[in-house]
Amino acid sequence: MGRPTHCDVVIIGGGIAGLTAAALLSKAGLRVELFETESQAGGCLASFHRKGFTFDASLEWLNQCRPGGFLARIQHAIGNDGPRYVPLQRIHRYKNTGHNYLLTSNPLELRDQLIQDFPHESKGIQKLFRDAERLGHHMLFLDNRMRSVKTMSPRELLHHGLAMTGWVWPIRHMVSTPAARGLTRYFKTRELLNLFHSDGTMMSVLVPLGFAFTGDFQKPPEGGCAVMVDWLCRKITENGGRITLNQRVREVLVNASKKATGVRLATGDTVHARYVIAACDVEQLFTTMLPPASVPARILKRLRHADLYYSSFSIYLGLDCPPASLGLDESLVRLTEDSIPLEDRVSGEAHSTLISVLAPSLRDPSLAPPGKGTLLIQCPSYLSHHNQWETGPGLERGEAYRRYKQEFTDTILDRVERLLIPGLRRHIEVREVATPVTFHRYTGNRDGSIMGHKPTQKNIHARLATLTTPVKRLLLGGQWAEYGGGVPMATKAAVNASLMILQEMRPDAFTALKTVVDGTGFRPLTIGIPRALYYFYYPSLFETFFTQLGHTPVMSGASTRHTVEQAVLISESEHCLPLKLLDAHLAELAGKVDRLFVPRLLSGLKGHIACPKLSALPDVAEAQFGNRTRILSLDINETITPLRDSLLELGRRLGAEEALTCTAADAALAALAQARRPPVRPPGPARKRLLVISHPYNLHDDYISGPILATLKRLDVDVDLMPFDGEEMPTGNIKWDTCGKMIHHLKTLDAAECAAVIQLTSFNCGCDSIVMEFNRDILKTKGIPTMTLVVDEHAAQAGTDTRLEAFVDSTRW
Amino acid sequence: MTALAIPPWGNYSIALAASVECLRVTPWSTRCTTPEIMKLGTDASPEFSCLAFKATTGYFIKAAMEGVEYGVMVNSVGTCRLRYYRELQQKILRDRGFNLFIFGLGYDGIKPPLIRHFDPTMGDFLRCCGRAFFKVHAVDAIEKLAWETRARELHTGDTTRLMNTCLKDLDEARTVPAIRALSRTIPARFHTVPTDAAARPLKIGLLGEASILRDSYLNHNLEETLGSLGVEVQNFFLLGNELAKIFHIGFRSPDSRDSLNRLARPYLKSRVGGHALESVAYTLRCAQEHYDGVIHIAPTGCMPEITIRPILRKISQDHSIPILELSFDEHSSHVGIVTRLEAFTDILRERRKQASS
Repeated sequence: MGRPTHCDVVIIGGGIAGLTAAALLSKAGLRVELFETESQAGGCLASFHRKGFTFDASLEWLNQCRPGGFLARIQHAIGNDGPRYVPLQRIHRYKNTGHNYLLTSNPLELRDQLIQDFPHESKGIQKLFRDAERLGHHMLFLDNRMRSVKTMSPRELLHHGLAMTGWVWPIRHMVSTPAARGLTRYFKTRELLNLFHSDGTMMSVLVPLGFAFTGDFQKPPEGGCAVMVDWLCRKITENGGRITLNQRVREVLVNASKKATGVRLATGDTVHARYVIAACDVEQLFTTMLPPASVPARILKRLRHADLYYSSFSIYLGLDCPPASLGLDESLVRLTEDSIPLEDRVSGEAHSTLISVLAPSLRDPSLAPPGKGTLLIQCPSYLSHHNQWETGPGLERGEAYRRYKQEFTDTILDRVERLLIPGLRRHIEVREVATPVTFHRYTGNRDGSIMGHKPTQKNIHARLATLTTPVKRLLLGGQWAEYGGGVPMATKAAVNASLMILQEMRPDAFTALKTVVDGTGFRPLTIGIPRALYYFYYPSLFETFFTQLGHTPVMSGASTRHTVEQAVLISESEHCLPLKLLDAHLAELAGKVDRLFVPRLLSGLKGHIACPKLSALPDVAEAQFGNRTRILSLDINETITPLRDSLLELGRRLGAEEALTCTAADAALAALAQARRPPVRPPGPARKRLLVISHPYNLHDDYISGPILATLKRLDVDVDLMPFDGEEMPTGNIKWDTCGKMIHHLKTLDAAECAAVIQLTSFNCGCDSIVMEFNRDILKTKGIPTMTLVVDEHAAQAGTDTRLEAFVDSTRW
Repeated sequence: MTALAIPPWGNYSIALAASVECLRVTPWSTRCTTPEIMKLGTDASPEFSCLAFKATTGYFIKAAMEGVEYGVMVNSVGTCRLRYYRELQQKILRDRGFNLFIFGLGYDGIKPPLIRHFDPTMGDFLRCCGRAFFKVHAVDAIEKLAWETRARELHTGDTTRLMNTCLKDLDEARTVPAIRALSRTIPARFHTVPTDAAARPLKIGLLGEASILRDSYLNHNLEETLGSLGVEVQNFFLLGNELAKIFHIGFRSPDSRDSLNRLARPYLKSRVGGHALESVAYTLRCAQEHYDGVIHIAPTGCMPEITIRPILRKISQDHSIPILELSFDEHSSHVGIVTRLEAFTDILRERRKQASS
């Protein structure tokens, strides 16, 4: 076999943790071999397809993927072309025989509804939400505390210890109080207690609410979570790592001094490695893959008695109708019944268990064929619970198992039909069912547990979660190395295992990754770019640049009638129309992004100057919107600084690496050149064309020029728009960049090709009041007919149309 | 002798007229725009051009109609459209068949075209510069005293009458020693006006666009109206300061470019053009020096001044200083302006009363 028998790191298991570790290590230049038993990587994040439907096996939502979140940072450290995550607007719906409450990205809506329904508990409800909000912001601190103490210097360790103590102190009572008892401190009404009940501590009640306050619920990326898995696999292979599917690791090789030296595969081949990361089930690793007696019996015993998260019983349905028609939305519905005692909700019994219903295709229509939808019904379930699943000791799936599975499914579907979607069964086109046995088979996790160890006192006392093992150079890198699994915890373990290896083998890569994990380095931001004014000077430039740097540009929508109405309300009344529109676009973005991008445009063309109004934009934006959003500014003065250098300065200001900034600037300039390229003229008989001249921000704004261009199209006129290409030209007597360009364009215009010129200007434009006089002179000497159209915030379509029609007619005769 | 049209610039026209005498031309100048000039200018100018443009254009047309052959117009190198006014006005005059040549006055090399054309002797040139310089400062002194006295005078109109006499004397003074002797007598002359020593008039800062600030026709005689309402004004456009700024004299002074940049920096980091930065800086100074209010003056559609208005509003909020924004165009009504000024001063009085109680 052509397999190399030596590499730097072997990773066992291709779940999200294994893949993340492999991607990080291979990016640092290590030779990585990853082995996955199944035919598909992904583990709990795997997707499967049936008859055109795509199902995510177990993912309900993501967190820490918002810009600046831990996962987003790690993903950016792997590559800046990763999947994008969109925040969830409607998060949870609490549905009961008696009530129906919705938690949205604005949790105060839920609070107000609860106060309305339970006015006598108003104080307690307010306090609960206040605590949740405080906790949500408190939890943000942990985003930058993901590094394991094993990679800390003594000084960092001291600092970390003090910081964590200081962090835990204010929330200590929430960590230790069980939810059932803690909630009674807020209110006494049974309905409310039932609504928020959890089998964990107060933390498990308040943290989801807190996440909603900090906007930390994201949808899986478009295309399902397979997109994340595929992207990671691609990154690994791009960096020279190797993923081998359908390959079971039979044992981990351990030498005489109790160091792991490699693995032996099921085929009998051996692969030697300096490190082995086990991102697989920890019990299987210790009992079957390691030589007997290499793990002390007390550790195995503790593992066996650990508190585990339940597994899941999942029904995947392909529906013949869109789920919206069944009354569902993107929220995750939690179904309970008042008649069922609280403690039975997680019992795993089909009659009493809590049911979660989710319609993934409403979040992402690409998961189902058009006009159809997917539905995911899940409930907590246990593999070993009184041998509930009727399997034998080797988990054989016999007749009894199948019968019980069918029975369980029917009960759950009955309940869903009764409580939420009457007549659901009539719409089912595809049905797949996964029991804890299924999860165990595909993930190898003990008892099919999806999230591993619970963060209970017992587990923490037993010190179950640890990166190191009794065998040296064998690290745990999956969810079993942390308490409370899920994608963030699995990734955390993978990152920490990678850090420990890099610390020894690649110190520079270690430092780089360390800054990412600690959040001291790069921080992705959402940057608002108004689709107005300077955007049209430099189309595509800024958004490409920010995307390349790993930030998320957020564009405002195109100008509409509504934008103008908004502009009239908020903007200085004597501003010119483009400036007013800019204010409306900024107002649309303010408060929703981390930064508003407002450059100081001093010159957009070498040897020229910009309109003086543009040189005060950042200051004016600061005065108007500075209290809501920070302004990101940049001086653009092409007369003294080439645009590329200005972009590099912007990159420096954003704290990006020099090399990355350079590539980003080049990509952005290429995108700008592409966007500025004039449209190709369609072939056909050469007709005289009509030229529309104006500033780029007038010509390309949907409100200012849109109706005029549409009318001209209707009149079947071949229209040229004056290009603003940034090409240098001799400095004429007009020093303003766009105006100079206009004059230059008109001077070099061929009268034989141009039928007429429309000068488009906006009301109160200072530059145009001067320049249009000169323009008219030039056109007069060339004998080209011209018309001036003034657009203001009250522009009436009919009047403009009539004038245009008359003008076009007059040029045709 | 040939005549040279100098656009009206308030009382500084006296000094400007004196300075061109060295070129051995007759100054064709007046202290403020007239309705007739305004009408001529409005008819000839592009619709969206600013009031200052219309007024000066009208003035040149009027001059051309009277047979004046030359004119002079500022054309600074700034970013504001003022830079192109001379050119556009020349075009307008040409299109209408007038034969008046306008010289540009700005940073045009060591010898501006105006000087190159008339070529005065060095002695004449220096003498006239000196005359203009001292006259500018004398005008500034008269203005300052008038603002202070008018708000306290016992008999309405005393100050304005005295001021006009002083300005007439200044206009007639021909030599530097005469001008300086006159300047020395000015404070004493203003002290003869009977005033109410106990009065604590409101103090309002006037700032904004220079030509409107200085032309009492264009600004509807703002200073006098305010003075008669018992308000002490401080007009922040003083040509003496402006010249010092241009020629970098007294760079440590609070009115130097550096000081103003530093003052405005928290709110405005760019010069924008025109006097926009000065407007921001002086608004902040008014707030620091506890003025009762600020009036910001701009011609409608003025590029720099209108741009910074949101900033002024922010300063007004942050420092809790009331700002009245006045935009002037050829349609502004005098009564409308006066009513707004009265309302504004009433508010300021009320504010002061509440603050002291």
